[in-house]
Amino acid sequence: MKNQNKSLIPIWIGSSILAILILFAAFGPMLSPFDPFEMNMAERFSPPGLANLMGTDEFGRDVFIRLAYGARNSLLIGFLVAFLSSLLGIVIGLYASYYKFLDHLLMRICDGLSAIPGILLAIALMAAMGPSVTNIVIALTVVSTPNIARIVRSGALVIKKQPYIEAVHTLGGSHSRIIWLNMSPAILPALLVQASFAFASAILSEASLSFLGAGISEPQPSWGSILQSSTHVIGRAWWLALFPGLLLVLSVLGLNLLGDGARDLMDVKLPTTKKGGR
Amino acid sequence: MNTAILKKLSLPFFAALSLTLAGCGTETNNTNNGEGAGTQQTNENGEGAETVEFRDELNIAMTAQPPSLDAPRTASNVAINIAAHIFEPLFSMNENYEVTPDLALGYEVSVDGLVYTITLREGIMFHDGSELTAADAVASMNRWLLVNGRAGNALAGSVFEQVDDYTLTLTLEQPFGDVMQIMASRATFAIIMPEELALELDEDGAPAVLETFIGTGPYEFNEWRQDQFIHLTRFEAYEPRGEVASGFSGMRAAYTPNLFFHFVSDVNTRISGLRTGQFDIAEDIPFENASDLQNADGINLHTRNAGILNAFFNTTEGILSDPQIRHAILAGMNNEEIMIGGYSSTDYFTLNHGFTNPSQQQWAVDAGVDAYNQNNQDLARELLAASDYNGETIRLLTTRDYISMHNATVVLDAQLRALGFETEIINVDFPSFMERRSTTTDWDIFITSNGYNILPTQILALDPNWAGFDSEFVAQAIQDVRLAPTQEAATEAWAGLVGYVYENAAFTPIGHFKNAMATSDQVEGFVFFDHPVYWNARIPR
Amino acid sequence: MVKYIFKRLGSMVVILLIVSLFIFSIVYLIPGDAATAVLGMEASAEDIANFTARMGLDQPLWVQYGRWLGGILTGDFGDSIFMRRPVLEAIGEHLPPTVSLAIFAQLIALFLSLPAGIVAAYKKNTALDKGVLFFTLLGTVFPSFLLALFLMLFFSVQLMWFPVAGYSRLENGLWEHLRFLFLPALSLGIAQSALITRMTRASLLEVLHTSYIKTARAKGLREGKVVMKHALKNAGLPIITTIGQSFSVLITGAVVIESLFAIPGIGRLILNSISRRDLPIIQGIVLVVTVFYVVINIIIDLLYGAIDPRVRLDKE
Repeated sequence: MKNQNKSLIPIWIGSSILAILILFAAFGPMLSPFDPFEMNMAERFSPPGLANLMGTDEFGRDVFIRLAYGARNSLLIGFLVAFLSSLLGIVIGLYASYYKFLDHLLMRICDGLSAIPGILLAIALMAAMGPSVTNIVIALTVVSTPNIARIVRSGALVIKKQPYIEAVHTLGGSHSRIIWLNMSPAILPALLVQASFAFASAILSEASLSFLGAGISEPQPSWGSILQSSTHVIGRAWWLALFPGLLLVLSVLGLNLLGDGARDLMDVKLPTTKKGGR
Repeated sequence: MNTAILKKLSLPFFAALSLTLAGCGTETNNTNNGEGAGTQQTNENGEGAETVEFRDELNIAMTAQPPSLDAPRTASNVAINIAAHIFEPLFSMNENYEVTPDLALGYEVSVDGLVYTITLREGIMFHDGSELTAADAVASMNRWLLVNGRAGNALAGSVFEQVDDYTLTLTLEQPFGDVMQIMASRATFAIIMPEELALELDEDGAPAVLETFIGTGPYEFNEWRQDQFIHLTRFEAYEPRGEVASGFSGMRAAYTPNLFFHFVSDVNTRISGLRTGQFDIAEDIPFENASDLQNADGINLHTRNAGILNAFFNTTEGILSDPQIRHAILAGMNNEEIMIGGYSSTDYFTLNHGFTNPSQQQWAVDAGVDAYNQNNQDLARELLAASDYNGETIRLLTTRDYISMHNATVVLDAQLRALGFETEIINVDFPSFMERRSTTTDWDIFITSNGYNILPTQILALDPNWAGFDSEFVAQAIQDVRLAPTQEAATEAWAGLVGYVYENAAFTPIGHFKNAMATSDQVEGFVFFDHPVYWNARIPR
Repeated sequence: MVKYIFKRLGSMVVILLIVSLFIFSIVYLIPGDAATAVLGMEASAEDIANFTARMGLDQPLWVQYGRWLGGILTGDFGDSIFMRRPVLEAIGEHLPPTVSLAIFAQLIALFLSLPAGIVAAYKKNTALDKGVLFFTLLGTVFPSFLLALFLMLFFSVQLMWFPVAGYSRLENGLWEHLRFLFLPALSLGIAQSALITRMTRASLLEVLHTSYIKTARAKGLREGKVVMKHALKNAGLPIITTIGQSFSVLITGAVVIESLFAIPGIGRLILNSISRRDLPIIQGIVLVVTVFYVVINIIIDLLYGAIDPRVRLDKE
């Protein structure tokens, strides 16, 4: 895998897909004359056509513009979860690798959290905290952090043994200096790769959460909640399943291509996992 | 049981008070609604059972597993629905909501309206082989008063006592006019079980939750496979009543030897199972799906008027405690749109301002008709501008576990925003919904679908605990209705109550919804009354 | 080695304590209670109060947790509030569908992935390899619930080849059993197969360059034999690891898939139990799943320890 051609193609494709989705989220709403929240009970379940590019939903709302608004929610939640869990993950992972006593405590907590099926943990947390975008982000961050922390830790354990770290140590570098100035840069490539997978995973988790009815509340749209509403009418309104499904797959594909490409490019040797707890 | 002694038992509310309506078996009473009393000879083996062969089993797809089959203890429809095939009450409702005897032969009322004397049919067998006597009935009915909260409250202080082997009495503290309706209503299902079962206590000395299911019904309990199905088999020693089946009353023929109640929470699963023949009957078809099924080959769609979708306003706390704002909302609501959101098509709901089933003529009153479904957005904005409303967020509480309630809330939310309100939908799971609803700080509006209640005074919406609408006027009006000497007086008191609720804009019916279910078109003898009735359902081979 | 295993089992107890306290607290904090689920929407306030008191649900968190923990230590997992029967019995009853589903999905995954992985590695950088890689990518990015939704629409609703949903017990015949489980297993299996294909391909590629494979080739062994006998044997460990790990992923995936296909397994039970606030059941399942997860991880670590002494040194 490592000694093969370091192709930039996956990165190009991945970032193009992502760019298109971001453009869709940012400017999609301007392309549509509709309001994402405006109902038209006379036009319920109109199939895709000239008036409504991707059809309408059970309240006669335009699906195209709701998907564009949903893209904002889905991408934002995914990004925030990836960012926050990377941040937490690097702190937990580095300190766990550095201090033995912390290692046992933190890793047992991480083991415990990742032993619980992620989607269940998220549902329980959502039920306890109540529905809101902030709480979705918190719940999914809790689910996603242990995995990242463990990857950071195992990478940091290898780095810690490197001669140059020992050297800084002998020269009298403080602990936090070693952790943050010497070790963290070395772990960054692997973290970035993992963050792109965590991003994809969070988008999927949000969709699963909304799919099971524990996600974002109406009238706010997300891809997952549109998919959820499609399950009741799958024989009648296929477009409610197809378009959000495609967007979901596209975004995860883009992020995975990006992560794969970056991993090959940077020759990251650390273990990384994809998708995560679903 | 050939002597069809069908006694006409009064829907007219106070007929019960009009002294003795004949003793047991002493006479065959005059006519009644042509529903076949004595006029029709019914073969007790079920007509033609010898000539036509029926399928060995019926597979019914229900929405959920019941919490238990202890029907009086739960308000769960799935529980009552299955239990009704195993257990029988003393009285039950026919299709015109008239009280008819079931395990009972008849009853008499004392002059003061305080003592009811009930006689039992003789020779009725329980599934365990013992015979039904008054001791069993007394124990079961007293248990019912203890475990069924609503019956216990409505008949507080009442007691059942044994007279002889086949006679018992009910003694009341006040001469309530609705005693027979309460006893015969499915909502307060008064089932009869052997005395030993009824007297079983748990460690705290309260009646134990039923774990063995022994009744007198046409089917006996066979097996309960957790999260999969409940299996009932025909009770061969069953003695059916002779009258033609009507509503929940009359003939129970049990043509089909085995009933399987499968628990299938996913609606697509129920429908496709029906299409592939895995199920013969699929309960609770949401309207989005029903319209697909209407034209489907081999499938019959059944609907019935089922209940009311109500919007409750928080009269106690928060911004909606200001009646002017509530009236603004009432003025601006377009109820038809909301109902379409919840129930998809005008085929599946009607608009009516009443709090009861419109087919119960005696409770249909004009009060409130002007306040209902005004659909006048200009007036609403006017009222709103004149009020103290200042852009506070209105919280609409809902749960996705009930899709009609949820979708109706989404439409109401859109209407409120169009009127100039700031809104927020809080969507939680069902137990959270119930918890938040019970605390008046946690919501401003919620919408629930409430099943019809045969007794208007028992309507959940009027319960002060339901949405915090605690009014002395309402409490007094309920007493007036229950103790009114005539139906006219009761209706008048009821009209006053309905008018008061609308004047205060405490809650409003949005519309009356129907329930739909689907069967294979080969299923015969199936009745969709207040609950689906399967004891005469069969598929010819 | 034995000492290491004991040490890991010791840490498992700590994990279980953390997990159980964590879950207990979360579920305790969720608004609403089991009474609503058992008694229904129209239950009266007195009924609910009675029920809550009878079940001890009005006690403070630490009393309830202490009682539960005390029970566990004496081997009593408590009774389900909703089903009113012992927790272990209820779990045992819901275990077979999930186990069947996991095994079936795993078989489908292996059936798809091993040949694909071998071919891709062997025909590296050909169009065939690229094709396999593309499909594994699709398998990775396609969420199983979406796949399930599409499979259901196509095979069950349109073609009517399979039941849309439901479950038939193994006792009622293997064929029926598998017919009901096929689509759910396929939705889960395809996602798994993507992971295993990648792992198979990657580890085979590493092995194919080693000297002993070259030696085997030099000896004049047939290519098929080289791949099957020598390469696969030596690349086996990471593949087995992936398979082991994927079993716990399958259990997780079962939550959504079981509720979509109405399969009465562990996933559906725990999802229902959350909305029924049936704490004993939730705790029981989480405990069982955690033990399962930890044991699998111990086995995987032991396998790794066997090939890479560094890992073991670090942990001890």
